[in-house]
Amino acid sequence: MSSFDERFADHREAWELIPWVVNGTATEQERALVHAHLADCADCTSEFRFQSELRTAVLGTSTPVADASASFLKLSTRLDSASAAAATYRRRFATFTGRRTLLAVVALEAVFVIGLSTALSVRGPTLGVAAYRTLGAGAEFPRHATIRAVLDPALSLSELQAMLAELQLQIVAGPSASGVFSLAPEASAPSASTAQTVSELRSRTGVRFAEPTDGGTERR
Amino acid sequence: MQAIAMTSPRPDQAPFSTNNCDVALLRQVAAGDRAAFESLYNGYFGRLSRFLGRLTPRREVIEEAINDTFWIVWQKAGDFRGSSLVSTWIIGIAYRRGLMALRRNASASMNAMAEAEERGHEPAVAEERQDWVSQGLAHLPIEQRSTLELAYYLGHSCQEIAQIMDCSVGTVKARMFHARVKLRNLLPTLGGSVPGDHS
Repeated sequence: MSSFDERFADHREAWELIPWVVNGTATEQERALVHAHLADCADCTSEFRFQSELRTAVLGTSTPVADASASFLKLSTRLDSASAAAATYRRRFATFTGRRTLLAVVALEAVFVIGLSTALSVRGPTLGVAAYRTLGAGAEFPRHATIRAVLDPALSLSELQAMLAELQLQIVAGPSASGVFSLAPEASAPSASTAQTVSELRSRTGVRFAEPTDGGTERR
Repeated sequence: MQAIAMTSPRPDQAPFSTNNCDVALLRQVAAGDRAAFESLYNGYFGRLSRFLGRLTPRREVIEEAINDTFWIVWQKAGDFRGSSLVSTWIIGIAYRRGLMALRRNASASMNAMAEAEERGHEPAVAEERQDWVSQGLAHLPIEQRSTLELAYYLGHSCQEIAQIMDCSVGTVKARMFHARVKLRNLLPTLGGSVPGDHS
């Protein structure tokens, strides 16, 4: 590189560094480079003065400053509103979550009951006795019981009595340890299919589960 | 050749201890301390008003941008990891919020250049150096104007400005270069010099 090229490269570098020397953020090395160059360069000396004047003018320019306290008050109000809204949301979310959890439990229970019911009712000739039958397993159910049912604990005694009277059913055993009632038609009840009665029971809100003790075989 | 006086430190230059104070305040803010938040707000309000005042003369837009900035500071204080100065972080947020506020208020806002030109029709005011410089700055694109303001008013280094404006150091240098060339042409007699070709 020729001496002219070197001087020109120094000039370009010094010229570029001037604002950062003027604002005091240049490194010591950069400051030294600019100082050394200014001693020999009228253009950069002029530019340095110009930038120094510009900085002084920029620092002195008036500012459209508003009232900090009044502005902070607005921000503070905004934060308070947001906090209140967030608290409300959290409460609603918690309530919603609670309801949702309850619904999820009920849904899960229903899926379980339906699955179980399906498993128990699929008893084709090739299946024989269902290996995973649980409510019907054991000998604790009287032989004359036609229906096994699980009732909602929320069902009141009077509602239970009314329902049994309407369907002309009587409790012959239960509830078992697993909460199963064994039901049989009242002696005076007219002949009705067990499947029909089970279907009627299943439609009631107070009945969680109902099935014929013989898997749907007519007994009457 | 006449000796050139070197520049004194910027009046509002944030020394290391100031950054430590800011970091301490920010930690309190992250813990939900409203009093610390107000201290931080008050400490930056003047600087941000001034900086954002270069983007728009409208006080309500400036206030909106400052409050948007500190809304984010309140939400994100816990995320600050100290990879930059607190001032660089806050001013970076303010720069972006300022540009957004300007865009939101574009239809109703009188931009800085238009206001500067309007003031230019008042001879008595136009003769004032500060206004003259303001008019010159107002003719610069926002990026160049902000670069110059960040360097000369807020006293940030080239690297800090790159962080604030989320761009490369080379871009900051290029913006500063173009701002200087343009101002030399717009304000030829500032500093008692004649504009030259520095490209």
